[in-house]
Amino acid sequence: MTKFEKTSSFSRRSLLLGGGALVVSIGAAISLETVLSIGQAYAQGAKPPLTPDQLSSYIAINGDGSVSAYFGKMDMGHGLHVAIGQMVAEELDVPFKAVKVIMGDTANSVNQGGASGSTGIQFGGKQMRMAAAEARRVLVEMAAGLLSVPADKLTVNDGMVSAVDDKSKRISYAQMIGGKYFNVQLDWNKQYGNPLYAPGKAQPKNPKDHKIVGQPIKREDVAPKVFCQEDYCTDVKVPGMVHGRMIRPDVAGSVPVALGRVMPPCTQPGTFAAGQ
Amino acid sequence: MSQKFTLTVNGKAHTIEADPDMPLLYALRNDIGLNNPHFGCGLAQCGACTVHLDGQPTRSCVTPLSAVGKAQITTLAGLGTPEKPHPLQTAYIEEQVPQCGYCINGWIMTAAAFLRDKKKPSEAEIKDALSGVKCRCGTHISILKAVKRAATMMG
Repeated sequence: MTKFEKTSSFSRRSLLLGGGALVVSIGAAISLETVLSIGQAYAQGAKPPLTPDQLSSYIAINGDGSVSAYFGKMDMGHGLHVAIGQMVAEELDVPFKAVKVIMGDTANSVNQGGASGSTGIQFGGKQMRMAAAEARRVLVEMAAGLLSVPADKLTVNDGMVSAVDDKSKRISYAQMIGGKYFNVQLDWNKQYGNPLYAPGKAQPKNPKDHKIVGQPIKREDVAPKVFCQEDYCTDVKVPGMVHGRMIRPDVAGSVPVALGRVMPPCTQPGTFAAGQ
Repeated sequence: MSQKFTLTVNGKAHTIEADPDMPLLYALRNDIGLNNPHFGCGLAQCGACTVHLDGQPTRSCVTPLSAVGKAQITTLAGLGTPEKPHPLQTAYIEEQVPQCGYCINGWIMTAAAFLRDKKKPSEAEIKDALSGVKCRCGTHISILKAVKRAATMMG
């Protein structure tokens, strides 16, 4: 857990914003004042604290319309870059290639647990799907205000929100929030790691409507592995690096009888004796 | 007692000084700085260190430098390039085989020698040829598909 994830670090923000995003009911008359307050409620310029109960901790819309998805797990060749990218693109209605999945660093993402048992999608994907769905809901509501069209009369294609009945009434995600951060509170279950779950108000898409999830998209890490173009952890060498190796005893229950200070030149390996 | 050895790796000669008992793998990784043959078990049990010596798949982790002689050493990096890939490399990408990919040297280098010598192998023959290689991620079915695809490409 990083210092960013302590609940105390977002108290100031909670005080400032009263802990709630302004939600405009569908079909209601929308004034300019309401529109502006929606923008203020949903978006802000400064990087918010990295806390599990903030939409900004999972999803950001960049100035060029691309999407950053901050995933709190890591990929060891499972294809999570593709799968999480697909799930986020699907719920946000943006092209798969517009999503960059950022993971493997707790300075950038909340702690969604480690990698084990190939469970990255099972345990971590649900949260990303819900966060992306919430981001779409919020963006459509923002567009409803800006376009003066009810949210249920809007559709999204490739990050462009437009009126179902009048395609000239449209505004892109980037125009609304590109380069700024979401300011949307999620309903966090106060857990970290695999059980972490923080949905918003949005419902995710019905799987029968999926267009991107389910497509066979190739991973970008396969060719570099096949052509030996990328290093593994064991390939990293730093100046003065020493060698360590686990030496297992021959018999269960062995205890060390001597501990050597093993520095180069290695002359004093640790030794074990059988039994107690 | 260190000796001078000249190793020809992927067509390029490297002269190093090392103990004759030192495994070839250590020379490749540490002295020559090639990262692609991997240290897996160090006991010739897994295959992650496999290179070709004059075309023969060899476990470099248990091959002492004294046994290398003038053999031409080929690593996975020398088997093919993105511009001129070996059919197995192409097939691996098409079938999206590896998960972590740490074992990849063992499978591809072993299969490359096998497919060179055996045209149109049966599934049983492929499985038999690769029976000594390990993949902890469990990608064996994909590996089999890729080797079959490469076998077809190689006629």
